[in-house]
Amino acid sequence: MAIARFLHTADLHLSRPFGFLPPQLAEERRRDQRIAVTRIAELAIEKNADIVLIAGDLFDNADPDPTDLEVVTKELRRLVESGKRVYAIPGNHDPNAGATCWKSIAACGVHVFLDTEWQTEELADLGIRVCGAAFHKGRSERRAFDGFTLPDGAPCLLMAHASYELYEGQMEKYHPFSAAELEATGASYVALGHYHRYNQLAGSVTACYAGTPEGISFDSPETGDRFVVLGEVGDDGVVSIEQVKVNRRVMKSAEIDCTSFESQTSVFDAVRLLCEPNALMDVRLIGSPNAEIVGALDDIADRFKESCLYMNMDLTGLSAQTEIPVDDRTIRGRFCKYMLSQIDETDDPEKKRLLRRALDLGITAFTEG
Amino acid sequence: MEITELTLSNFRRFASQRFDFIPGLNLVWGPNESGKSTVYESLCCALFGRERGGSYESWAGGSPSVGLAYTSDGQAYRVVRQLTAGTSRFGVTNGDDLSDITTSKDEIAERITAHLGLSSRSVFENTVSVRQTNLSAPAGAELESVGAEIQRVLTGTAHLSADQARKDLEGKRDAIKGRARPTKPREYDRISDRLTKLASEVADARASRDQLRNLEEEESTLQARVDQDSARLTVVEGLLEKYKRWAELKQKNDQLNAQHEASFSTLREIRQTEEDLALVQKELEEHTDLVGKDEEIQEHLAKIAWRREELQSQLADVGFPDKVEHAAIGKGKWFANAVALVMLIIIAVAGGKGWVNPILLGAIAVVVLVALVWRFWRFGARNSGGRKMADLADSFYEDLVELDKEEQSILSYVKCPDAGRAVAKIKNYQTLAGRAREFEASLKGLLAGRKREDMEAQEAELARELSGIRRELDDDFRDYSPTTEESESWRSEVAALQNSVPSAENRLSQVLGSLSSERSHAKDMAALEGELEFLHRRRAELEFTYKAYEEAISAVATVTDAVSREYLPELSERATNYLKQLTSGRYSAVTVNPGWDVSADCREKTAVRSALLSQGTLDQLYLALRLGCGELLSAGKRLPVVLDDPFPAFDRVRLDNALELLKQAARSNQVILMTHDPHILDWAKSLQAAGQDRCAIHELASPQL
Repeated sequence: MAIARFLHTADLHLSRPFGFLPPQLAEERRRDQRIAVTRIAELAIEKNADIVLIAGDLFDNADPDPTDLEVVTKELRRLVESGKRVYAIPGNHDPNAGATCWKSIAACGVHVFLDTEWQTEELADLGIRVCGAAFHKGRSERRAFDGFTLPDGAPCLLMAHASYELYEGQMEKYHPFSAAELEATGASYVALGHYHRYNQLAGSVTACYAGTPEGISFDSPETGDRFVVLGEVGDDGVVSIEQVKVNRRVMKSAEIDCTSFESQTSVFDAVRLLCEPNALMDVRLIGSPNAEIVGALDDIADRFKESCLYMNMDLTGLSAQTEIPVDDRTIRGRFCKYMLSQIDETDDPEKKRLLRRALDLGITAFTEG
Repeated sequence: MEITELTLSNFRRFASQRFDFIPGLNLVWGPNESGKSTVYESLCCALFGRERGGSYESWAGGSPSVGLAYTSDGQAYRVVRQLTAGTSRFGVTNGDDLSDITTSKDEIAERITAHLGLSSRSVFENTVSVRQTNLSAPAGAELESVGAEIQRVLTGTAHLSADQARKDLEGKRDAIKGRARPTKPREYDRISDRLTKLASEVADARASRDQLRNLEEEESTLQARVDQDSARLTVVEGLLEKYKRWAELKQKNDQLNAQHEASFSTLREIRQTEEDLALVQKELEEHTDLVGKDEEIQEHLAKIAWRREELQSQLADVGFPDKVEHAAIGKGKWFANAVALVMLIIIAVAGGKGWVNPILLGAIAVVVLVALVWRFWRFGARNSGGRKMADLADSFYEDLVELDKEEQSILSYVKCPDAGRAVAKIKNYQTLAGRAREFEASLKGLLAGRKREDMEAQEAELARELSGIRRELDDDFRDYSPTTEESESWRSEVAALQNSVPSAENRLSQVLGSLSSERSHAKDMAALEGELEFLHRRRAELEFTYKAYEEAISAVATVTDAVSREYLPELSERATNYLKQLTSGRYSAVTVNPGWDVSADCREKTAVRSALLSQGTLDQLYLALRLGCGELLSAGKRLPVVLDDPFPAFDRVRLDNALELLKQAARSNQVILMTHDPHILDWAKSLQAAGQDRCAIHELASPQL
């Protein structure tokens, strides 16, 4: 029998600039993030969660936009007023130091663990304890669970914005922890934040990264469906969890090798297969198709405007075939040889990239004519 | 490369056709519509694959295919292309076997161009291969001059020269940035303009955000200060109020205490006086007979006393001063005689009975007898005065008796045995009455016109009030003893806080107003930063592309210049040889200068610009330059020369010169010449007749009428 239900989310990264998107779409994504906050609040109410855990990086920076702060405070207040116990910890993006947002959050009735040392909140009516510690900006290398002692008695829900060492992610030096350290906590559930993909860690202690509720980049941890964690604490202290999809849009990233394509139509078909109406797409074309195909791909992104929400087509990985005959003495051939020799001669990767692009442009110019 | 075999299957008009070519001169002859151009196009198709826009479908139906066999450096190769399926198969032939097979179009193209010695179809068709058309208007060429056309040939592209490619690159580069058309700025410039504005907006937004933070901080500080000062003010006001209350209570206590003490003392005095008065009045009650008569009685008694003194004086004057005394004694004579008789009886009895010592009895009897003797002597003297005097004295004595009676009457009234006591009683009465009056006067003075009940009520009220004050002091101010300095300190602190708290509240109100205003105007930084990042990245991309264009333009220019320097003198020399031969020596020199201007020297004029040449000569100049270009670009490889009716504008002399040139070329290169010209057929037949074994003739059937 469940003694308490909880909802765990993290890494909402509100007020993200989304500088990789056109401004209008970036604004749309920020709106999606705000909608995600509302969806999560509604989900907590709908599923009768007693506790809501926000495991860090609620905001993308310590000085979030008023629009975002307004929505967050409104939804959190709604949760608190509906009887939910809401707990939050600052993450590496929105650390407590210098942040004014946490004051507003705390004013909604949310318990924010602002201390970098472990604190315990006892929910006597539920027979649950919630423990949390804020991200320590000045000592991010500190082991995640240093100083934590499991309180006696009631089941414990632990909140940490930390890096699991066995998880392949970025910035793994932020409050790292090992499988053994996780086991040693003895907590009933560890609500984790920092890594952006949903991931339930293996081991006897139930621990989970909820991931971002809306993808915030085209990096692999951000792509695909996004989730929050719904959990139940049994009267034996054992926690069972399920993942619930919450994203409104999906970020998709793909790489297509065009070397073997005979025509641009083949490239278009390959891209079309990936498209989804609700997706933001980042497609990188690579390989060396013939120059004629390369020359026809400049406006390829425009072709898929209607097939998905947004298409970013990266053609920088594409290079026209330059397998010119050794003795090609034409100006075109000598241009290719000249450019290749220039590329070979430079050690500067950026210069190489520039010259490679110049070669493609030259070949295209010779071909298009 | 030497083409050995061309096989056509379902290729346009040819259902199945095979051509075997020899290394020297191959003439494909036929009238119009006999398939000469089809042979030409099938040959190009076999070498380079399907041409864009090319149409090869069979007239009779079926999938078209073309096969080509050739040798290169002693090795035989074959390529077969299925044109509908778009597949190709290439391999090394050994008899009927095909090995080292590849079906990759790219690889096939790479290997064939390597064997051919020319890099692409366009190079082949712009040099040693001529379609059935005017030499001066090669396929796709829209060039203004022969020089530009030659540059295109040397560029190796189908449609444009290196200069055109460079201009194309420059156009695209300039489409990125540049203010050639200020009314419609380029994307880069639009972005730069937006970035400039955005930088300002971001700076403003950041300043606004900073201002917001400062205001929030100030609000927080002020709020804390107001809270703290207000709390402190409450505390200090409490302290001061307590002190004031304490001081007030103390003062009131002192006042009330004094009042109460005075009241109490008066009341006590009143009570004492009343008690005293009561006592006096109680005593006075015993003298009710004297009330209002004391002075009269006193006076009466005084008069009696005076009259008696006067009578006694008169008695004295009449010689009976002691008459009174005598009378008194006379009155006592009988009493004394009785006493002496009783005593003598007692002595006699006592003596007779023997109760008392006889001596003592004798003594007593002597005494009694002495006393009797003295009495007789005394009264015997009085009797010696005159009678008159005695009567006067008797009158006086009678007056005295009257006085005594009068006095006795008064004494009886005042219930005193004698006048002395009566006087004393009266005096006592008068003293008491005086005291009573004093007390009453004192009481009146103490009451001072007030009612005693009021005074008591007032005293009780004062006592009650005092009790209340003392209780409050005991309850609330036990061990409370602030110093004046402390109270002054509180007073000044309260004054300071009463001044500073409203001031801080006022500032807080201003700050809250500013905060509200700033918040309502605050822009979302994320949107600005996102746009900034996006535009910076986009501008960097454009900048990168712009630089890439510049690199490409520079490289094209560099290579074109190099080619110009390296190739053009040799090209001029080779073209000179060909044109000299074609024109029977009329044109002695062809010059392609570094500016790609082509001119020819003829007998009448030097440096005749190509634009001034006749069409026929222009064709011959083109042919000379094309062959020269082919030799330059093939780098010594022996190229097959494929010509489809190339000489329509040639006169007979120059046609013969051209045929002679081809005959000479066929000694080293394979020549495949398609023509409908019977003269050329005759020429070829004459060659064969002359034993020229390097000449083969393929006559195509005439189309059905």
